[in-house]
Amino acid sequence: MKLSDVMSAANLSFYAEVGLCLFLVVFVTVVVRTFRRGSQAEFDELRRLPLGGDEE
Amino acid sequence: MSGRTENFTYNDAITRKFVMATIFWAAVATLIGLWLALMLVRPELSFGLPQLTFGRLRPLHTNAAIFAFAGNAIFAAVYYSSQRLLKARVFSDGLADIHFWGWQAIIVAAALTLPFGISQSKEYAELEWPIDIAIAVVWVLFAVNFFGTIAKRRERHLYVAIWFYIATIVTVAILHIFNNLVLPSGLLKSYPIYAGVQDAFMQWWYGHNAVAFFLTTPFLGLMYYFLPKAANRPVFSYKLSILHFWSIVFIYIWAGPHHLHYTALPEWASTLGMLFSVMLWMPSWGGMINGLLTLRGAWNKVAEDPVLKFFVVGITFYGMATFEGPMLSIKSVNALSHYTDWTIAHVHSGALGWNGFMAFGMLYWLAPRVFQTKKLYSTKLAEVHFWIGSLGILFYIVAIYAAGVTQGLMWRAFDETGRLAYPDFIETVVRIIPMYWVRVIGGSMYVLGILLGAYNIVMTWAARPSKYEEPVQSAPALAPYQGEEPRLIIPFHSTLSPAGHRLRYFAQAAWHRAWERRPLKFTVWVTIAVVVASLFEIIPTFLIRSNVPTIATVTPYTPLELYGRDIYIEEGCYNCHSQMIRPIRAETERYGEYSKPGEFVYDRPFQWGSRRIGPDLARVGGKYPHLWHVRHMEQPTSTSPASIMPPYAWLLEDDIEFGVIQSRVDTMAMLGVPYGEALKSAEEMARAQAQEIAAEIEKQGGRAGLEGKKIVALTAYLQRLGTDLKKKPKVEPAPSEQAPVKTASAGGDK
Repeated sequence: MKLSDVMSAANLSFYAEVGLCLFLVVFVTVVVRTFRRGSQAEFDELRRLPLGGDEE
Repeated sequence: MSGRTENFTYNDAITRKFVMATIFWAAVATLIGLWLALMLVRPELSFGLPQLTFGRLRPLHTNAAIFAFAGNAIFAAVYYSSQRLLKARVFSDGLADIHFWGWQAIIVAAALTLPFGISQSKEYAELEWPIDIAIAVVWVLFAVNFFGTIAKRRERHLYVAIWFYIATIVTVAILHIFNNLVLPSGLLKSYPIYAGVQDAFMQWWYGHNAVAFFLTTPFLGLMYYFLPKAANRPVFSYKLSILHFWSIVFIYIWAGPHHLHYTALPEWASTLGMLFSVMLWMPSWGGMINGLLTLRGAWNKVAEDPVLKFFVVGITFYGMATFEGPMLSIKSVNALSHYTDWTIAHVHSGALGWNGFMAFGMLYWLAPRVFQTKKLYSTKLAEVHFWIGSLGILFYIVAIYAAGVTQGLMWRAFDETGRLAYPDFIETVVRIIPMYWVRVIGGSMYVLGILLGAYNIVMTWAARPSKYEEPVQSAPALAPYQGEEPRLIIPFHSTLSPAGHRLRYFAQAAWHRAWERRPLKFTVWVTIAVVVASLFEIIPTFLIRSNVPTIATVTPYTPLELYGRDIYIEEGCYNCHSQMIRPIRAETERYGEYSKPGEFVYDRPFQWGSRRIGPDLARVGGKYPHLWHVRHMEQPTSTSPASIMPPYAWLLEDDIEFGVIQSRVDTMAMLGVPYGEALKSAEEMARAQAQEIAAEIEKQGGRAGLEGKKIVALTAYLQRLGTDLKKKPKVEPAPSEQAPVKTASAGGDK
């Protein structure tokens, strides 16, 4: 029995939709975390990083 | 608590090298593009030379634009910005130099192989296997140097631009390796391990994500560093930039199958591709808005500074292209746009507007700094470049959008009797030639802008000091992290269940903040996300048989047909001809029965194509006599007077290399193609078939003595195309899985 026989019998095509949902959940979590209250101060410092460094 | 202060310098010599290479290759890539645009209206400009045909030069143009122009721009950006964002000199100066010269050598190798027909024929992955190995090696050295620099950094937090660079480095490596898995059949010839539908799926997983992770993420990194620098203000919203990053890693990677709507790809896969593409709309626009709003309160600077002008227009084109991309992925829109110039216009608004203008903005900002001249040779000249380039893009894309929509509508037009309104393909070509001329004008303007830019950069370089200074920087060494580390604590006595605590910990996502300090962990998770998304998408296509039903009458190509197919690949025919009839009435009326997945099981590589400058060839076999093909290849206008195809007269003169046929058949057999008898006598079989075809050509009134010439092999292949479905299955059918498809119902939508 080949691997493709096993995979064909396992009816896995819906895994793509499962993957879609998993990725959406993680993505939404990142969004929630990023936009939660109180994160602004932390990000204010970070957004200025490029402006430091060397000046010729 | 921070560590002791350390002194260090930056390596700007490597940035200088990449800056010069960027502007040089920008000129080369766009000049080739202009030449190609001219050849579409004046095909005689190939001068009858094989090396100058559209089919061979177009891959050189795309590879030069992507890997030479955009590639060198990316490296200039990465070396300059990452050293400063990480407060550390590049890990190894030697590795950086090897990276630079190795990459230039790869570009030269591309220029020395593609015009000579040495090609894998997969779009943007045409380079043959030895060059692919060199790319992988140089890329790994680049990665070692980049991650080495991160390891010795003096800034704990990784700024978002660095995230984009990390995603670029890991994903491009994965894409490049998996799309180029081939079995060599000689020093400069190979066959992919994937066939037909699976090869197409891999190719567009690669092709789409190459746009995402070679032309988008590194340029976003560039934007998030150089735009704030040039405007001297921080990015508008750091939150949006985080969102932007993760949306690309999580969502973009899934969208590849939208390149294959209405093809023989399983429908679930292309629907998934469409869904994820549409989801990309919002975050991409979030990125664009973030870029433009960074200039809040600084718009007065835009009026005087060509650098900011380039950035503003570049970011706007990013917004336009990322609006249009999801729109084109919607199946009903794609049914009209696919195979037309609409795609070409979309690609060029992205490449010329987004990639080109972001790169030029960066070059003009960098030049006076890395060449230490305090100012650019001529700001006025840069302004002229900006305006002439912007107008050039507009001329180019407006004309080509019009050409695409016009041709797409003509292909699907029916007259009042229910027949195709333009049954002759050439009618739909002649109609758009005026727009091709406008493209030549727009392209010329864009190229002229680049030449002015090159002059400006070279003159700035000429004003450099006799010896470059290396200003000493100082920053505290990275001490162990003293802040609070997020930890999951589940109190012994708690009203909330342990699962609740875990959920709350996850939702707080403080772990994400911790990742951002830990580049290794961060890189591993990005890699996992990319790999998992890819596997979810790819595995079912590869392993579930119902996705590619076998067709009993589809058999391997004969040795001569295989050799003829290799000529088709060498000449780059896929650049102008598709081999994929979609299940749309206008297509089945024009070309015949729509294509089935099972028809392509021996196609290594697949040749579906992505643009129809000429007609589809999936069912061309048997449509014309052999002599028609001979005359058509010798001089296309002799069979189709208005044709814009260049002549391929050398195919009637060049000899078939019968000696290589056996090894090619053997390589295909190693990949699982059931060759049987041909494994012992491929050459004899090829000679016999060539004799047969040559005799028939002579009988039809053609030239005698063609049995040893390449034209005969190509004719053999073209006459085979699409004919398998018409064959009768053998009397004793194989087991049920090999039952023929029901061809009657297959044509049911006629």
